[in-house]
Amino acid sequence: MKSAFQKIAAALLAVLVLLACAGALFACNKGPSAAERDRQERLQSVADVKQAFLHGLKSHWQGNFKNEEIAALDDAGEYVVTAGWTQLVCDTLSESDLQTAKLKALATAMSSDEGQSLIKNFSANAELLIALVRQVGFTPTDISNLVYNILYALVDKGGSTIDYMIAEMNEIRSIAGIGVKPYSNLGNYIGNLNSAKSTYIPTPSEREQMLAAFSDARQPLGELTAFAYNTSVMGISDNMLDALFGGGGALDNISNGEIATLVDTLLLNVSDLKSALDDTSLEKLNRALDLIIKKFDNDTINSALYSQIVRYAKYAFMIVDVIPVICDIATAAGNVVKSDGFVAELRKLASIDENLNSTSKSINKSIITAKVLLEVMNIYTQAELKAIITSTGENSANDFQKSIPLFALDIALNIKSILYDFDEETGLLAAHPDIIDNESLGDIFATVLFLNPNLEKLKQKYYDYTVGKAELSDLLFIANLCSFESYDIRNPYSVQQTSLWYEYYMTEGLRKVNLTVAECMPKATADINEFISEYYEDGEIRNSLITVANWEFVKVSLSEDEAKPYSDVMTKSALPGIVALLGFIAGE
Amino acid sequence: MLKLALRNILSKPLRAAATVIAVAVSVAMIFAMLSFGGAVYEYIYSTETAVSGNSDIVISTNSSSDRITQVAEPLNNADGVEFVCPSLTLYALLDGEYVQMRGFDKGESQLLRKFDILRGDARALDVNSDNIVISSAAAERFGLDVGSRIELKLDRQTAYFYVCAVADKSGYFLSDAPFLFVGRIEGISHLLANVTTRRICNEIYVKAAEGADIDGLLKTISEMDAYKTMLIRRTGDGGYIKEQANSLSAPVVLAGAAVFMLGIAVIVLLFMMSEKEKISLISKYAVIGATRKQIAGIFIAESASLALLGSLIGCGLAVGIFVGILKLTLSPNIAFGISAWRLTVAAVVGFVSAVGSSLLPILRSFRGTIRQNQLNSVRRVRTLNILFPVFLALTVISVIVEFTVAKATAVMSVVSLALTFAAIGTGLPCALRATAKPVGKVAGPAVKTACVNIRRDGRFAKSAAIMGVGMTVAMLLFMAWSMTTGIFTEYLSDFENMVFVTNVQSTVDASDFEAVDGVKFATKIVWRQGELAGDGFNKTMNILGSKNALNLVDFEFITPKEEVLSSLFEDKECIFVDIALKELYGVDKGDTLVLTIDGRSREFTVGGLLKHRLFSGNYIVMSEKVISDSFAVGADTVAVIAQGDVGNAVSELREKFADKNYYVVDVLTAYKWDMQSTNAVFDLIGTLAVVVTIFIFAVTAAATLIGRGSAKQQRNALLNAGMSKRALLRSEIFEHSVIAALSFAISFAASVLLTSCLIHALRLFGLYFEFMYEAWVAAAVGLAMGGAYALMPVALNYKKAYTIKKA
Repeated sequence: MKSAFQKIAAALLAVLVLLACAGALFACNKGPSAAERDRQERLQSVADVKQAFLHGLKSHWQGNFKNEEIAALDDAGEYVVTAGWTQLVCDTLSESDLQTAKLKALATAMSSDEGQSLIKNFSANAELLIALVRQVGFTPTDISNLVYNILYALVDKGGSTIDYMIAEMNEIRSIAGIGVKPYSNLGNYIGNLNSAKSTYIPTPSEREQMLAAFSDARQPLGELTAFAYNTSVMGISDNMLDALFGGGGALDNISNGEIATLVDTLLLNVSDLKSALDDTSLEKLNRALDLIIKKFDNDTINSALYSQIVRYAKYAFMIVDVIPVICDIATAAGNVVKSDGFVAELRKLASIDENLNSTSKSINKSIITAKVLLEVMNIYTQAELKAIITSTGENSANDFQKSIPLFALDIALNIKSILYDFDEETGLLAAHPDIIDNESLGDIFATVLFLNPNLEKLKQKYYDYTVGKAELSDLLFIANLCSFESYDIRNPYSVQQTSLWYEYYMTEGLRKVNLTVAECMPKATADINEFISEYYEDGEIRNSLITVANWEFVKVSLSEDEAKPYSDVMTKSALPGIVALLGFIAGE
Repeated sequence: MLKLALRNILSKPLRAAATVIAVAVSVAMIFAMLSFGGAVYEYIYSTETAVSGNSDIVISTNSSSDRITQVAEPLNNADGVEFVCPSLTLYALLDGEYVQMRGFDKGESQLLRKFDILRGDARALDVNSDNIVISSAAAERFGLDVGSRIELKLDRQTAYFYVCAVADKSGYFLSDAPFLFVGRIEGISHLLANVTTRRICNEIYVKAAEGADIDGLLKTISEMDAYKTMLIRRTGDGGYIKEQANSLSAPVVLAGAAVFMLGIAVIVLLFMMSEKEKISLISKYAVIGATRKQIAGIFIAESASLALLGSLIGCGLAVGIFVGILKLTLSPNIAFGISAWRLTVAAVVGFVSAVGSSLLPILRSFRGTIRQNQLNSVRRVRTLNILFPVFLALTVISVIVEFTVAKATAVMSVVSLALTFAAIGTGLPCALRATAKPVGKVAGPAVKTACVNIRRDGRFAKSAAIMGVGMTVAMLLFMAWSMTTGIFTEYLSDFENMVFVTNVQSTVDASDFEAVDGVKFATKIVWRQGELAGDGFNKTMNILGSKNALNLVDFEFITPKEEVLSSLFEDKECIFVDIALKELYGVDKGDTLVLTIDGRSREFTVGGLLKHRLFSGNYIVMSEKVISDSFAVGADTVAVIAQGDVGNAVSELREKFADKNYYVVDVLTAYKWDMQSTNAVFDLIGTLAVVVTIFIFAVTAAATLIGRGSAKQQRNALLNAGMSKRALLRSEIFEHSVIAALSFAISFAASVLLTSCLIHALRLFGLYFEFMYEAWVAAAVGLAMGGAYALMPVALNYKKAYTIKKA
């Protein structure tokens, strides 16, 4: 009996041992877990993104260069710095909520011919990359999260990134047999980063303060970014008529009710944005953006990627205060657009618009704008509008960037006098010379059209010059485009004293610009308010606007001569300026 | 007393085990048949409400309304609303195949139903708006898994989505045809108009607060401006689901009644199998002085113990096997409720039948003296000889009435069913004896012995009765399966060259479709459901709202064709219905019926009668204009008849209208998706038929073995008398074969009549069909059972147990 039991026990034991062995073998052959596979794929995708970006910028760059290979590059310093900032962004991508497959798709899109061509012109056309990420399928939430995370990383890890870049460049410089050009290029960039380092790398308290500000501003910043990406890039502004009436699509033969629903849902996005940007949130957002600009826009960090990040932060800073007002206006405009009568008008236009020439299209666009403007103006009382303008003016009087929206509006309203009533003897002629003198109007004009777009270019050019990629003549040319003389800025240094010359513009020059802006702002707001008074008191603008709004849409292509009666009335209505401003806002 | 009862049980362990198993199987069969209808209802309810989940009301767009909407403020604040859940559903193409994209707002994807996640994490839906959850079936079909990126196209729009989780076939995914991808409105809206937005939707699900008046809420919502043109209805329409479940389960429920009766009969006959032996035992107890009370006590205790054990095991078997079959055939993810009362009824019926039938030998023994009981010489009353002619006569009368009195057809068909079974049950023993007598005279010794046994031993009569009735019930179950499948699928073959184009606006021009290559004919049609009420009925009907509907399928015209066509083309305010309504409810031309669509009711005159198997006769043909004028419902479908290959026509239509969001699908595919749940019920019926047939055979075999156990002495005597083992085996094979052959012959013949009765009985469920009979199905079932029964002596190796010893 005992023997039988022992036999059974031995057999069972043998079976167990066999099972255990099989289990162990199975476990050994199982390979990496799904999570581990995903992690590896993610790392590879991010590495591919880095490779595609660097190779796209310069075809002789690779994402995985070893130090010896970098040492052989003539532009070794530029490579290390660009690769350093790219790595910062790539790390952010890797740590983000973006799906691994999306990162893989991004890498594929960036590696494609189209992607490589876009990256090649990255400095000039960074926004074109937005089309690329849209094509990949980035959602507004993806973009808003990424923007936040990248800005956060810039504060959090920017200093360590610079330290790493300097250390790496020093290491590469010490490689035996390094060529003269790489050595010198590395030297330029080390110098550049060392000089930036002292001001760039935040102190622990600064860093804490900035990160806290970022955390506070996360929600409004996210809403703002998502809205901007959704409406300007993905939205119907690209081609509203085609989107609504172009035929086909899930909403083929779209009904008035469906348009109303679509517009309503878009307006809900607008109202969400407005709700997110209440006074407290605006203050937080302003504070966060101000910290970025102050901290990161004053030094010589030479990188296309870096400067584009800062550039977009400045755009946001520029418009953030007026967003609630824009939201109100958009909501009012949306309510007009979705009305049955207006939709019927749009339908008419859609049926004839396709075969018209640009002159006729422009007239029709003005007719639509006039209809919307009339309705929007009916929503506000004169006092309300003036209060909005005055308050916005007061909030943006001390910073030339913040002044741009109101200054642009003032120019749009004065466009008739600027374009048509120009007097060669007296120069620019404001519509209300008693309120705003020609000189102030000229300053406003210079700020919006010359200084604002060219100041960034001057900074970039100076960075380029410091690393040997630009000539002094280039610097001078861009400085002239900035029109500093309009602000009575006389640089005491010659361009040969490049550093001092540049610093003067960036400190004393900008101080004077801001002083001029502060002087001009009350005049500009008063000028705009005067236009508002005229409008509500049945002045020429309002009457012309009503005339334009009542026109039938132009159904044939008109020659310039045939269009003259139209343009004469439109000029009186200030519509050309408004249409141009709207076009500017819409990025046309 | 209990000791004696226990000793009796233990003295024949195999018989006791066989008895317990037979009782258990009978209880399980009874339970399965009692529960079938409820299970089908539960399943249909789950699949029908897969989309709407726990909501009470759905507001949806239709062909005459806007195609998109949003949650209006008044709805959010309406009294009696617990929550509002907007949902956006679009059809997009993935690898050229339609998939259904369904989006919810952030955090609301599981508000209506829960996911049953197999892999991945559904919470990622709230992280990225382009994440989706798909079913395991979709994952398999498209080769996707967690992390996969898919490109979906809808017209000119392309959007990318990422699989964040794979779910089991439950919840929303019970309705997974075409394959359902659940995501966020924000992500899916991008496919709609190149605008990413959160609030856009085409369905709004409303959950009423506890105790709220849902009808009142329906009225409140329908009065809201935002939803005046929308379709507002209750979700999970109980009436319609019940109707559908009843239609599907009707044949099996009827056959189930026979199974129920069979279960009881099996138990009764089972306990009577060893009647002789029991009477003999009773005489022994009497000799030693046991009183009648004591004897009754011993046998009741014995049978009660066996019955109790059998009932308990039967309950377990019922729950295990039945639920197992439901999970296997319908859905592994639906929690089918086990009805306690049904289980109790099955167990009690089993127990009472067993205990009750155990009293019969006692009562019979009390009729004779101890000596008579010892010799088993109590004169038996040949009840069957009396009952059979009675049942036969009654069956004939019932069938005559059934076929001649139209109004009594349905009710009498049930009576005929019952009487036919009774006639088979009582007739087979008579037929067996009648066959044995002449055969015994001319055959060899083995067969002669068998014939003598058959005539003398009552157990053969009982086996024959069980076998005959069991085989007939099994045939009927399979006929019910074949019939159900036929009823609900055969008419589809008429649609093999038809294509549906849905998601069209009512203003669409049908001639645009006729211009497409491969299209022979196209017409706009209102293809939806409505309620039709008349004297004594209220049914859900499929409406074919088009004057060209009669060109789509070949209707038979009961009312002259010209008359029907002229009424349709003149847009007369009348409807045309199937002759089924006349047969079932006496509806005729000129009658007035009430048609309700989307809550609006209108009276219509019946303009004429048509005949077609379409939707089991539950259809209405009427003019599109009449529907539109009466219910403000526009055409929602373009029905296209293809010329040549229907697949080519579908491709051409998709290509031609690629810039529209039309949903182009051939009708067979559309119905294949639509029939997914119905097909599962067919599988259930088939599996049940197989399992119950196995059960029937098992109890028949058990009963036979129990009966045979009591004849051991007789076999020993034959062997002692010099009969060879081989001859004895031949004798037993003959006994089995003759029972099998007679059962088959009678059952097969009766199955024609029973099928006819079954079809007539379906009228009680509002279903009208003409006679249909699949002879091969009945023959196959009968031959399989009969063959297995005939081979039992060989298969169970009866010969091995033959031992020669003195009795």
